[in-house]
Amino acid sequence: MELEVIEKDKYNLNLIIRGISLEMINAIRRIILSWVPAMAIDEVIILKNDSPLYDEILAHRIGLIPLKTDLETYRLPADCECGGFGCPSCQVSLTCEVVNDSKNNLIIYSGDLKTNDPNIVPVNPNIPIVKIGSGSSLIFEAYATLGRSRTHIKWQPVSNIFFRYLPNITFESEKCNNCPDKCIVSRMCPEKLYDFSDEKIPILQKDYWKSCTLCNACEKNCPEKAIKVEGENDNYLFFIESDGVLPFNTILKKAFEIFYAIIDEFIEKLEQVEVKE
Amino acid sequence: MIFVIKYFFNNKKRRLKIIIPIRCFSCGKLIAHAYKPYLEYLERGESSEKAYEELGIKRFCCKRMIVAHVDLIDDLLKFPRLQ
Ligand code: SF4
Ligand code: SF4
Ligand SMILES: [Zn+2]
Ligand SMILES: [Zn+2]
Repeated sequence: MELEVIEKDKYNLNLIIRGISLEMINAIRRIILSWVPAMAIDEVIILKNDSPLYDEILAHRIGLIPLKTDLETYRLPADCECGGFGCPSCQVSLTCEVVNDSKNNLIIYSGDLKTNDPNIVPVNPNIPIVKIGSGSSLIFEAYATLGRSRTHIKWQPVSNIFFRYLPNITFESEKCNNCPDKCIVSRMCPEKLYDFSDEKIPILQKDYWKSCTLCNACEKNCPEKAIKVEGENDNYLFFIESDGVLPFNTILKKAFEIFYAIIDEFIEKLEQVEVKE
Repeated sequence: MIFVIKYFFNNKKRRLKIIIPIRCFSCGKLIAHAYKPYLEYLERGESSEKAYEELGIKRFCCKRMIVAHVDLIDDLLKFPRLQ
């Protein structure tokens, strides 16, 4: 198996993975998507709410705010010694107390949440929660716990994760000389990968494989059948996009940890059952 | 509904307001923090394409969250809440 990073920044990680089977790469994708835990607010106690939103909607909005997660210190409530009741090793409390003394309306941002653990904070302090009028106030207490996105989307550690076959386009540009059309393909490609600025022969971009979506529009519509689009078997482009909840290496390490744990548990259970020969 | 349409068309200068959903309905990406900067980009006369690129919004599900949003919380704030 070969791995190559083609783009990496704070919120995106794009990889080429060569020589991995479809089942394996999909297992990794689905484990990251629905098994890797993340922190999110799960319980809100609203003490005073003068805003135009109902308590339920407000609680829902607060719950969806992504929080930076620390997987070392915290445990899932189900695995915790307290039995899911709530204790310092499975729960973080956040409070918000805003009183609007001014004459104008006031927006309450996620930065106004005060937490008792400085590692568990909203990923962005500028997420608007609600707006309150003059003289109003908003007071609530919230409890964040670890969870898995099989239960609710708010616990998802990534905002998007997908892969596709590595595209491989065979383009016979000699055929373009007899083309009756002024390259319909260059106008059709949704990613604009054919450059037809010289009006004679279109040029396929060198790094087309980065953005080609394998939509086959070029292959289907070329009147001279000069193009053939294929996905390379067992070679994949893997894209992960995160909200900044967890760093990418933690997400991937944790995914494999969970994968091994599931397999180990399976083997253990298998040994307990008598398999008749 | 008529109120919403009237509001949208009467509102020539787009004002900066709130209650944009926190995450995209379809993909779950955080988008609420990008709404205000997006409107600021437009007020500076930049294209929305550039604004989306700068704010890191790529998919059209997230773009429609921002572009199709009509903000009404300021109108709701004019009325006292029934307690
Ligand atoms: S439509 Fe096909 S054959 Fe014609 S110029 Fe474009 S690529 Fe070449
Ligand atoms: S398969 Fe689609 S995206 Fe790829 S080059 Fe052809 S038209 Fe463009
Ligand atoms: Zn506990
Ligand atoms: Zn989206």
